Amino acid sequence: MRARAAFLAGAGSAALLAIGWNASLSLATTNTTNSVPAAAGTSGVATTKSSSAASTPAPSASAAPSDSASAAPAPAPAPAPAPAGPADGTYQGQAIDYQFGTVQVSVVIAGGQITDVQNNIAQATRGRDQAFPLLLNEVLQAQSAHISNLSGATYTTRAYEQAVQSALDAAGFTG
Amino acid sequence: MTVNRDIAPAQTPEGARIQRRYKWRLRRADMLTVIVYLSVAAALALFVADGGIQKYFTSWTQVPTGLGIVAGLVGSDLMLVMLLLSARLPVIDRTFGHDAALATHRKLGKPVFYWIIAHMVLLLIGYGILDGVNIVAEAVSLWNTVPDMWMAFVGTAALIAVVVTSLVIVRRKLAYQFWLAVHFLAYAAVLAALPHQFSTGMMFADGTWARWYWAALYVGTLAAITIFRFILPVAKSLRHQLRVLDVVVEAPGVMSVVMSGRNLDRLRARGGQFFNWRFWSPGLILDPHPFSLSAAPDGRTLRITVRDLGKGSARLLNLRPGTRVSFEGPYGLFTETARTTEKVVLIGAGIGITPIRALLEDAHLRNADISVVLRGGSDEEVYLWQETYDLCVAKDAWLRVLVGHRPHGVDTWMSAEAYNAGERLSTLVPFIQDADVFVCGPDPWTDLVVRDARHAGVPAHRIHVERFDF
Repeated sequence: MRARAAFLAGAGSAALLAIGWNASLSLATTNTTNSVPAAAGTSGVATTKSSSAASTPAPSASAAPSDSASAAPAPAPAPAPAPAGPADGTYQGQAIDYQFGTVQVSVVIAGGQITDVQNNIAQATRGRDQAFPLLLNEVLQAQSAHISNLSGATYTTRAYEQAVQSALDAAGFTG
Repeated sequence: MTVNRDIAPAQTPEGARIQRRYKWRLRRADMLTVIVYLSVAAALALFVADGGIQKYFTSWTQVPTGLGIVAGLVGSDLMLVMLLLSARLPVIDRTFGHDAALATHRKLGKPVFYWIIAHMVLLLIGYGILDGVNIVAEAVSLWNTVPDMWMAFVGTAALIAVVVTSLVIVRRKLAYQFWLAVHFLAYAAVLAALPHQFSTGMMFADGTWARWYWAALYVGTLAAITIFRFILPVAKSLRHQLRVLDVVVEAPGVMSVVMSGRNLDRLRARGGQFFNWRFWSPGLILDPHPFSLSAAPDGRTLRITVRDLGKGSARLLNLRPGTRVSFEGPYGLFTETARTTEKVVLIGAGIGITPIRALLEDAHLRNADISVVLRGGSDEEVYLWQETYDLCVAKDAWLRVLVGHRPHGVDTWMSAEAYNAGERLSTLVPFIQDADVFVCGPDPWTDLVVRDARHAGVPAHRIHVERFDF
């Protein structure tokens, strides 16, 4: 290969990899703030790729499935304006074991909408945990636990659905 | 695949034009080469941007998985490069030449295979570690539980079959149809492996840049193959309506096939280029034959000159005027456009004289210092001798003809008579080290000419070779 081509190929490749690395760093920082309820309704571009943080098991306290209902404040009978929707708050669901791992989530409800789903436990083997951020988006868009199947992650999708549904049940959320 | 190097100072306007053209070709070559490297880098950068380093290279148990993914990315990218190299892209042919592109295509075959196998093995190990099972159990579980994975395994098996049969083909020179079947198998392998990359391979998950990048690469490659290998040749064949006009016996076992058609000037074929010809007559229609033009296209006819070497060539003798001809081409960089100087040396042996003769006739080869050296075992094996002689007179070119057997016990491409008389390449063509040298003949003979030209001081980028080994 000629010197010019070699130089351009080397420099260009290094630049591309540097850009990639930079992007991965900013991705890590968005992950740490991920548990703060994301802007409601928006498809959340930043969270689309959040894979690394989601894959780490949640702290042991919240991982215990026993307190699943305790985090949920009883739906306060609101006076005039609120129709029947659940009160704002964070509701934890049950841990769902499935053949490739365990999922447990909490849903954040605000203004009668699902504004975020936090992964308390999101373990799955063989990189299936990469599905969780995508599934999160699906739930936010669908505003329910009924989401379309993510091809290649069928079992993970089903488990996630169950985990979200159990959290929504805890909230008394009906959509 | 390198197009090369130093550019001597130009003297005349014609020389300056030739060197500008050469410079542009070098730039194109650089650009295409850089694109290949950048495509691999981009694939890896997307992996990194997706958190690949943090995810797979911060704990030991994940490393095999990470390496497996990287191997898959590199292997897939190079596989697409391989396909593009054989896709008959005009820009690749004009820059590197069809045969150089195919040589690189063949050279990439084994590395691509190793990358793909590494991808599979490393991921089986990596996933096995995560799931706490051995490789075989992991493979079985992947096959059973993950959609599209069984297709990927089938694709890998097909790929192994392709590599094994390719090695056999190279050794045994099996029939064209066999080669064709193997290559279709390769395409099938690529397609079978495609779904798992977009579904199971969460690399290319919905909404990621990687998905778009790879989708674009695959669609682009598929489009290039479809357009340049299938649609364009068929369209050209339909458009030009080529038919056999005449079959002329030039010498025992050697015949010229003259073909006529519509708007042949639009083909923009050049002397020295070749086509894959498919004659619509029994026993020939299934075998496309690569033959060089033996005359520069005049806009109304195309001519090839063929020696009776294989079964197919023998059948050509029985071609009837009026036989329909479809073709792919023109291809090749064995043309006047490849030269970098105003001095040209054309060296041909036997049936290899035919593209030399067409190249000599090319209208763009003018105002050049031309030397022609022809070689034949006997007088009548200097094919197209009379035509070539007339062209040399018309173009004011030097002509040397070396007839007779080679000397015993000496490794040379020359006749015994010339060799013993003390002739060498540098005495036959005194200005050879400042010239572009075009060589066409049988493989071992060609190698000897190239060796002597290099000895005489001709830089590699000024030696242009067309191999005739069928």
